[in-house]
Amino acid sequence: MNPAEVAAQVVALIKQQAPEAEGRANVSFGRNNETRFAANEITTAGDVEVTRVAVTVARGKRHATASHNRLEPAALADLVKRASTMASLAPEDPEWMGVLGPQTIRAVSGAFDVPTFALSSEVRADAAKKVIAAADGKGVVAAGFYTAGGTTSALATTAGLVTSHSSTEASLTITARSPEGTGSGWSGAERVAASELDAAALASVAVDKAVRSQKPAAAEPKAYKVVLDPACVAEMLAFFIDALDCRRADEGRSFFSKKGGGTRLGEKMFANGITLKGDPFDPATPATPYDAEGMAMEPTTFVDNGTLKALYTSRFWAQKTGKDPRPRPTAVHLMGGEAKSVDQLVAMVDRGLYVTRFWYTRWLDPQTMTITGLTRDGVFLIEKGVIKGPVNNFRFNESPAAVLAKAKAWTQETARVPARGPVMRVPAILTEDFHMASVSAAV
Amino acid sequence: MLSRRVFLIQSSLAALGAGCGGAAVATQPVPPPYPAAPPPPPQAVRPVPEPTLAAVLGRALDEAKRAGASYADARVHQRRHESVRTREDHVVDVSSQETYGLALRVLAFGAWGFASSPRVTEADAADVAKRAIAVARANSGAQKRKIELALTPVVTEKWQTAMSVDPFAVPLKDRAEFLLALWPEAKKVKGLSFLDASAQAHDEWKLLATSEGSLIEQRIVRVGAEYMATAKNDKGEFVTRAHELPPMQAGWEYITSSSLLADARKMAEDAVEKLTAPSVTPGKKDLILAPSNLWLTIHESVGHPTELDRALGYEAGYAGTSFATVEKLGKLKYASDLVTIVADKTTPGGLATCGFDDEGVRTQEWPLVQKGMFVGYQTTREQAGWIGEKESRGTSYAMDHEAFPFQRMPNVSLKPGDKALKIGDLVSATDDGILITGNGSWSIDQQRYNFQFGGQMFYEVKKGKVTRALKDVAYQANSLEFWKSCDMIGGKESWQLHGSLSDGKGEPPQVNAVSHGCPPARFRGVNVINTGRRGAA
Repeated sequence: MNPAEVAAQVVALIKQQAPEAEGRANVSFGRNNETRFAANEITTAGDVEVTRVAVTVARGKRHATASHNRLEPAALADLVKRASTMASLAPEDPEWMGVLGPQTIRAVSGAFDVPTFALSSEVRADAAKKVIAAADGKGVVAAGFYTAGGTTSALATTAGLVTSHSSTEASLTITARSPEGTGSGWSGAERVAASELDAAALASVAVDKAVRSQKPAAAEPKAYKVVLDPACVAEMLAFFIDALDCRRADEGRSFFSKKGGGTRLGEKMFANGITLKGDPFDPATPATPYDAEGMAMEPTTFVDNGTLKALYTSRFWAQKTGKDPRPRPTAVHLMGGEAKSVDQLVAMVDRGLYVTRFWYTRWLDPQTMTITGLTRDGVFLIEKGVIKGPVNNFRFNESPAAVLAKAKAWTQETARVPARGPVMRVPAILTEDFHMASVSAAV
Repeated sequence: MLSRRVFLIQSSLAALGAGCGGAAVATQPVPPPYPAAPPPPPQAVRPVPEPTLAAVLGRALDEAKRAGASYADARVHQRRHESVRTREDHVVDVSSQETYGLALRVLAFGAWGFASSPRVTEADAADVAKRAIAVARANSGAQKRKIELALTPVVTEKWQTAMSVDPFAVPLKDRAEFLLALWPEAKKVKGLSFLDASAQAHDEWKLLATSEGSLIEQRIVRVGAEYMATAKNDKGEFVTRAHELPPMQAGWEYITSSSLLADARKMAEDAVEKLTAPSVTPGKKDLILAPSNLWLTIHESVGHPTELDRALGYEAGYAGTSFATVEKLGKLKYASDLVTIVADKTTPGGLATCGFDDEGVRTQEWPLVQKGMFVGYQTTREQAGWIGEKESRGTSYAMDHEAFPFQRMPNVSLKPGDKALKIGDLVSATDDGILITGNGSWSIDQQRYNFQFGGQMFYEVKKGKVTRALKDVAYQANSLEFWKSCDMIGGKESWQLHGSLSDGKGEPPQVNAVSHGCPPARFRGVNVINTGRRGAA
């Protein structure tokens, strides 16, 4: 059986067990094959088969969802019964919108790579061994993670919606540290196809940063001009995406709320040229073309040339406020700019910092979209357009919105970065007035 | 050897079957103040009848050994989670999630291998063994240190959470209605705009068999409920106030006997008060941290740094390393002399409490910081030898059948002081300070030096008295300087257990539940920043 067949079977069971109810099946089959390494040795690895069957049943405005990971016919029937019983016991939800009927959902091409789905332990171990050899060669210590696998998901509803999507993902992340712990460097990449991950090239970036960041000089906490590597930009952008919810903005509890009510849609809030798109059909960011309810994704420009153009809106909120519903994006692309390279961004800075990675970012104040976090794995002082050398890490308190508002230049090329949330491609950005709040002794 | 193991499995499963009738099997005293009562029989129906599990586990271990494993552990693991979420006067989500499957870890050709399957049959056990061995073979030769496991006694045991009301037996409707009762109280407060609430129940059932012959069945039930009140004004400003009830290893009785409902109005009033509270003036302050705030600081600045794998670089790729490196063991002054911090997986009600860890080691309590000195690490069987210890501290954990077991944080708690001090005594003794309760934003660097913590409520303390509420407060410090500045610790009457259901570590990330007990404590001259201003502090 494939996920679409299981989903169809679940829908048939809902109709049979509870003809008066409506429901939805979300089914996925996947493989997660992983190899970890640390202290220049392979530590753990796994070959994991993942199955999920989730059933949502609604009786009028009462609804509930139950999931498990078994496929035997009796197990599927039990699951439907569980969801159905839970739904009849649940209090009414006035916001329940019913399950979706047929949708026009375009297929995404280029999201699935057959060899990556079942990448062997040997291929992953060989990549790890290459990284270890590169680290051993330079006398540094590497740790990292190679994961490859994929998922086929299917969604079906009692109202006739049927859709599915298959994707694979391979990622390799590497942290290299000098043995006495005074330098650290990171590199990482995420691709649809494992064959596009170049372990040796990634290793050399991390190892090189570890060597160059050793024995950092002292730098004081204050506001700096900064060049942020894509890894930093992606980490901040995840918070920005969280804040793009129309309802929270309308309710007056978001950065995008307008004083006195409503949202800041249409307002020029960010630097000229800042454009944020969400497009799962773009070969640069292939992603699931529908959300968990089966709502079709459409290519959306959230920020166009500095102006806030769109917020995502749940079906309930859209109906209540007379807006168009819009799913939360599964892919985002902060579009590239003019700069040819990170070096060109560095060359534009008289005095500032080149920051390569963030760590432990957390909300501080949603009203100003301020987050806190730390720098990690290499911060470099820039003087007169040239990198002078490594400096200490910092804690920062800063707003992703301010970073985009004060952006001065960014790279043409955007990178797909392993990050929280949707598939993300982002450039490196030069911005100013970035608040380093205190020094971190960590390396 | 083989026949002995099969015998053990079969005989113990017979015993477990008999034990399901309702006798309390917890080896721990019942957590006060939650009443002692025999736990009801597990509600979950295991998809495979248990006598079959003996054959499945036995087959996995047999195949692994036959293919060259020098050690293996096989685990049938069921994980369930039920949650109800409400906002204001209605339910927004009712869900039940469950996973069930077989996990097998093997040590073969000098390397670890792991595989898992959602199907729990003998045929799948053989397939899982083949895959786990293939992983170990691929990894072979890339180890710099020989993997050796500390010895541990072979046991046949069972363990279960002590509780009186199985949360999974409480209808979801009742759980939802408990939460829906909050809004009518909270909305009586003018200025309150929103109330988001949720209640969770977690259940882990696992049957572990090792190639050495141990067989252990455990059921661990955890519950939590929380809500957050949001107040806003017409200037476009908004603040939130979250209730501070900690999640606990307990039954549903823990939630219904809590003060959640009684506090609804107070939480709403706090939110409104916070909205108009003056913003803090940054600077060095004496901090009085309530247990509801201090536990998370313990978690981040003591719990994580004393994970031995971190200290040796085995988590460098993700969670990070630690300032508490091994050459400092027994030599580093970590805190003031008043401070003793212990690790355990035995505290009644503790979220990490259980009978045995996931490699069959009996749980225990041991010191991490003794009278201010750094004296201990958290270890597993593989790690004990790394610091010359003969036995594991019993902290191996895997969150579900898809997960590899590795070193995870136990409960880590600050011992109460000798004097019977209460939070009011700490306030009375403070000239210029801030009292902080609850958790807000938190963040700490990857070596655990520099941290920044917020809170829920902040009260200015002047000349021994609480004067007014403040807002926009966070404290920033270096872990060692912070702990060395501790000069007052509450007595055992003021000790409270708090905790988290979502401690994260590892790649792929695994979730772990841990508790942290502490009394209120005072810390001198800590850097307080104003989170409303981004500028350098």
